[in-house]
Amino acid sequence: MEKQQHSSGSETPVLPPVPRKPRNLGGGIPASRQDSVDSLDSPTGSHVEWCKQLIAATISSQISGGVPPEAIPRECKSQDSGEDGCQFDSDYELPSHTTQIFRDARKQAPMDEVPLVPGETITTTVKDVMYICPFSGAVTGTLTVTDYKLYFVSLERDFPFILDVNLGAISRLEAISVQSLGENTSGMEIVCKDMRSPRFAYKKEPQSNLEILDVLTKYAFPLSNELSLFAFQYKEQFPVDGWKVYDPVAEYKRMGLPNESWTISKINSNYEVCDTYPALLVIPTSITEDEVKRVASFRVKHRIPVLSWIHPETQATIVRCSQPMVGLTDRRCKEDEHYLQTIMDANAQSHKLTIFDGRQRNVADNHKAKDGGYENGNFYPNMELKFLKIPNIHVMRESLRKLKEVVYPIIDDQRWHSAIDATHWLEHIRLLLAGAVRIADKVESSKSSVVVHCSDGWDRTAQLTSLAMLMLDSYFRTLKGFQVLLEKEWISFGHKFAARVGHGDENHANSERSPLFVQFIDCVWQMTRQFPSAFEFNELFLITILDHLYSCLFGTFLYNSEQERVEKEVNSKTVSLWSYINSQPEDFTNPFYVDYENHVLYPLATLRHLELWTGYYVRWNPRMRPQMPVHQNLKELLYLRAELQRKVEELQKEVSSSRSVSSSSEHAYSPSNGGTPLHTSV
Amino acid sequence: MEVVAVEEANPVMASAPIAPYNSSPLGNSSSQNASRESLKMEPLADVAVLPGEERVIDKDIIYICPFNAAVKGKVSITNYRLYFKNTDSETPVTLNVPLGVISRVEKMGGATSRGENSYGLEITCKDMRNLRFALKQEGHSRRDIFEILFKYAFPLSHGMQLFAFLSQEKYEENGWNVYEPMEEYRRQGLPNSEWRVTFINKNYELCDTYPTILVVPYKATEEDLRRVSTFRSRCRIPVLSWFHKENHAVIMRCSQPLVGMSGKRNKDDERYLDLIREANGTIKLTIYDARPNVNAVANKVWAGYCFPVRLGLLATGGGYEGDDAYQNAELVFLDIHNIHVMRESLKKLKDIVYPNVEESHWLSSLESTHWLEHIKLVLSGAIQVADKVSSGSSVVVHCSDGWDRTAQLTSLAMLMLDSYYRTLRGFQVLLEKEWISFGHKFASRIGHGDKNHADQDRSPIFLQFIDCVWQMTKQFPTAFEFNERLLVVILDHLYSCRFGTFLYNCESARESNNVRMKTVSLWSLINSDTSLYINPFYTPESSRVLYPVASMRHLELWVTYYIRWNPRIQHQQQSPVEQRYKELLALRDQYLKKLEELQLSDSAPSSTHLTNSSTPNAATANQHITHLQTPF
Repeated sequence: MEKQQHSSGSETPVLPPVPRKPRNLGGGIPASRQDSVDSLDSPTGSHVEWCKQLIAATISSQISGGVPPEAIPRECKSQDSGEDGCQFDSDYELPSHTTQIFRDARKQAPMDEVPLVPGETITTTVKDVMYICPFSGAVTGTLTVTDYKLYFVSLERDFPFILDVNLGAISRLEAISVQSLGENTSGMEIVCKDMRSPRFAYKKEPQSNLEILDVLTKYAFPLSNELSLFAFQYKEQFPVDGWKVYDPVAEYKRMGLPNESWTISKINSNYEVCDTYPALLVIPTSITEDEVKRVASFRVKHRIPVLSWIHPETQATIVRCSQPMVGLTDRRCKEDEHYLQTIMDANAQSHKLTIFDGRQRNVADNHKAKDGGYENGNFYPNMELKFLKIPNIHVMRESLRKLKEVVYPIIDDQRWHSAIDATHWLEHIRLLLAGAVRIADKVESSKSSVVVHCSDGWDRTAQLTSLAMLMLDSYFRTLKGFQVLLEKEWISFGHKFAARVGHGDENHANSERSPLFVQFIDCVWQMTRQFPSAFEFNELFLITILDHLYSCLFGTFLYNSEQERVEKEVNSKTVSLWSYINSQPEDFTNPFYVDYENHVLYPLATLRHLELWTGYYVRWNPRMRPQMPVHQNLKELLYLRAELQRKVEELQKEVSSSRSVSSSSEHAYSPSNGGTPLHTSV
Repeated sequence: MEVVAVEEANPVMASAPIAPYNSSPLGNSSSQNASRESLKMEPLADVAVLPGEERVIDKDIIYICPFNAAVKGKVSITNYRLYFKNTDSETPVTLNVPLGVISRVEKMGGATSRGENSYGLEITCKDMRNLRFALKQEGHSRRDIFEILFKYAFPLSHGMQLFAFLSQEKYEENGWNVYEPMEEYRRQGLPNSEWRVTFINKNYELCDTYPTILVVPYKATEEDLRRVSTFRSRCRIPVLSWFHKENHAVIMRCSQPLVGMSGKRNKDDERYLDLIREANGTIKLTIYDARPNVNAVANKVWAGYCFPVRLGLLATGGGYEGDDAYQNAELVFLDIHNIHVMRESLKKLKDIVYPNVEESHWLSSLESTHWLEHIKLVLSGAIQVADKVSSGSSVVVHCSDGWDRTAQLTSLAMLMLDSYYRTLRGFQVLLEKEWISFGHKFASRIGHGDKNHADQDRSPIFLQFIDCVWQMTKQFPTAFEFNERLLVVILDHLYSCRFGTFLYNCESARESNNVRMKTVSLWSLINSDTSLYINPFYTPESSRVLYPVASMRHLELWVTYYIRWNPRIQHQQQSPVEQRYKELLALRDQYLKKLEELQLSDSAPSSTHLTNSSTPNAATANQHITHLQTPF
């Protein structure tokens, strides 16, 4: 496969080399050359691979376009005929030359072979299955189920059609009625977590029928069927070890910790103080172990206030925790009051402490009846409490559900804007960003320390602290830094990934499910849109993260807390997503990145500045794909930059060696300086 | 319960602190002034006026800025512009408004009105903003400024000249030379054995709203043309707009046929259309009537205007080509609404974006203006035209008079088909040809210098076209040589009356007013400094046809034009990317040059170097490099 990629790239020596072939990951990143090929023409293929192939194709053909003339205007014609203009879709998504290239590539590999990742095994193969594509009509082909993915391939069209779904992305399986296709036919709908619901129809042959659904159910929900998650079978070797990305001590050290006010405590090293917190915590130096334990007993789930981030200049901090257990009687805890006072005192720049409660006030009030609540201003002098009014996980789940209805499978073009409005999804994104902006602004402009909590301190709290940190600290906007941010604020601090995503669990209606992490990534994407050169990573990186949030291929997002992960030996038995990412960082790099060090980013959190992330939510719809291979430009730029940097280095070397001869040291050669003095001669 | 909470959150968050937005270190937060100056002027307070510009009055005034508080300052009115500069604070607040953009000046409040700043002037602009000024409530303080403003903003209503005729600006380039019809037709491969150039209209006798040079079927005689002209509204006969070099299909434009209520026929017109069809052997000529299908009209509620208009057209003798009469032609309606519908739609858009953007149901309110829907219809009409032509069939495009929707459709289709029009120069030619020379009624649609703001002839047809072009540039970021700035500058000068380019309704009127002699062309300004208008991402591709996707989910509101007065909208555009790209390109050029130098100096010994005295060290360093480079 590597070879094929190369051959297509090598036709044009001038242009950048084709990116190294990603390793076989299947699903989100399909394993073989030929399957990705077809995802082009099938609306269901992987967007990620699609982008990559597009890049490769456009580079190799050295054309940035060439849409066949007969192609795209179907869009307008289909409008005349109403909804069903879809039959045209499949033939115009891509420039014809691209298709050509893929056809060539296809001939080189046998189509009936299912690409497998190391450790993956085929469990069943069924022939004559019909995939009822909502975009391009039904196709008949072969369906293969492995312990990692569902793989459908049809050879009945001009070019092979492939649908590839990670079993981890499946939320529920349902038998559906397909009477129109004849009596002996059964149907099934595969409802996915990633905004699609492919449907299949197949012949009723009593034994094999049962088998398909049973096998699928068994492997899609391994934990409900006493199997282990696929991540524990995955055997890929990467040159880089992603588990080494996050080292808490190193990260705290980067922030300048410990210092005289803050200490890195091992009080939770056995997860005894708080079982959902990481082993290492940063707490005020002057607080005794005894005090910590009392505070723990006053905070829900023992999630005591701990430091998330410290401002390198002002020493203002972002502290996270869960709600205090004040209850209906407004209970007090002297130690908790003292603890927060200590946090405030640790920052000499401000004599105020702001507590941001992610919830709506009335919701927080209701929590008092359940022994929760919020800090009473009378007992916490010098502190102001602000509610950020973000609705809870159930509201978010409903909102995304509505969004799926709007975007999949059929879009009502006439009502597109109002339909999106009605989902409130962007409104929620806005609330989150606005909340994070307020936190970042408080820390940066008012130089004041802040405490952030919601109810348990693992959903909205993680969203808010990590977004605020992303705004405040340019390190987190690098490829590596963002990984650290996720490892720290989300994974180690116990965002309940297992419960929110439901890895391998058949209980799809569980009310614990919620797309909080997707929402956070969406916020990050909104920021990258508003500050296109401030982030080192690109959109593909964000989409890849979300794909593997569900895939169960990597151990990164499994389980609810660090303690569970240690218990299951995730680090030694599974592969980290960052191993894959960091083995080919060039695929995930934004060529426009400029390191805005020490810049604080305040995204505009107003609805007209927020966009629906169609590249993620609507990516299965072939009509939503970009017109122009913009990626080509990006890729070329990356190459250009590397090339230029190499030249700069060369020249700098020459200059410095010549300078040592001439002993004139004033005219340092600066590559970013437009008019270098060197140009004045000749 | 939760849902209620969500709703309740809206108003509260809408009033979230503004401070953080302005303190963004990446945004150009320093520019507090609501007027982003696209005309590049020194502050008038220390006046750097245009050549020919004269100051008429200065006055102390309060500008009631809708984004900040009321600002005290001084307003100056010249024969070209209104200029305001604040005097009350360090942060500059300026307004620089060409009088041409003013559509209406009104007195606000009376001498006895109560409340602060309730007495003054309200100015409505054509470019999506309103300005309010307050004056002291004593001694008829606004009388002089009101009268002067009224007079100079609407010179034609006061027997005065438009500023374009007073301007004495000089440019290196002469923009009037951009468009030479013969040259442009030659570029297209005309005349040839199928098409000929006719000078029948050289004195505007055949059609007073058409240009002098027309391209018609080779087989059509001058007499034929005269006969056809009697059957076409305003004598706007079908003439060639664009010729496909490979398949010889053509885009023809004209006005509606005068079939009237009784369904009149005209053999000459029928034969003429058949000549067009025959020219390249098209089997069925496609006639695109831009208007809504008659049968469909009554069903559309918001198209209330169309029905009476349609009836009126038929009553006054207009109509469309019937099946019986034109047997080798197929008639397609493109469902684009008329100028009144478009005017109302833009008005609704202004209501939701100025001065405050409707935040709570932004997307729904946007949808209810139907602006993007109209854009979609225009674009999808043009796509159909372009698609038909590239498939080898000739087409005829008309609406009613053939100067509004027709110009939109032909010029957009040409932009899709012909990459020349996507260059900076080619786009100018396209506008000069399809819009200016073919008589889009700029004067009537814009109302240059005319006080009659409620005139039913006003309509943002050209703006809508530019919006469609912008949508295409968004979908094909590398296909256009020019950038967004060019489009904005064109729109600014569509109203400004500083250049002669968009004045008058047709070529004959421009000729009799000596526009080319007495005014400066906008293209003189543009072509004298093209670097400002170049898209760094442009990759020339000669033979590519662009088909934008005309669907609501691919169209965006052109925020940087329609909402540009709002200071909150001004930063965080894609410019960092463009900036970065330009930097990289510059860097690349720099290194290429450097390499060249090194190689050059390699072949020629270092003694030939000219040393620039201002940077001796650098030169020395360079020479040293030369030495070290010898093995290279």
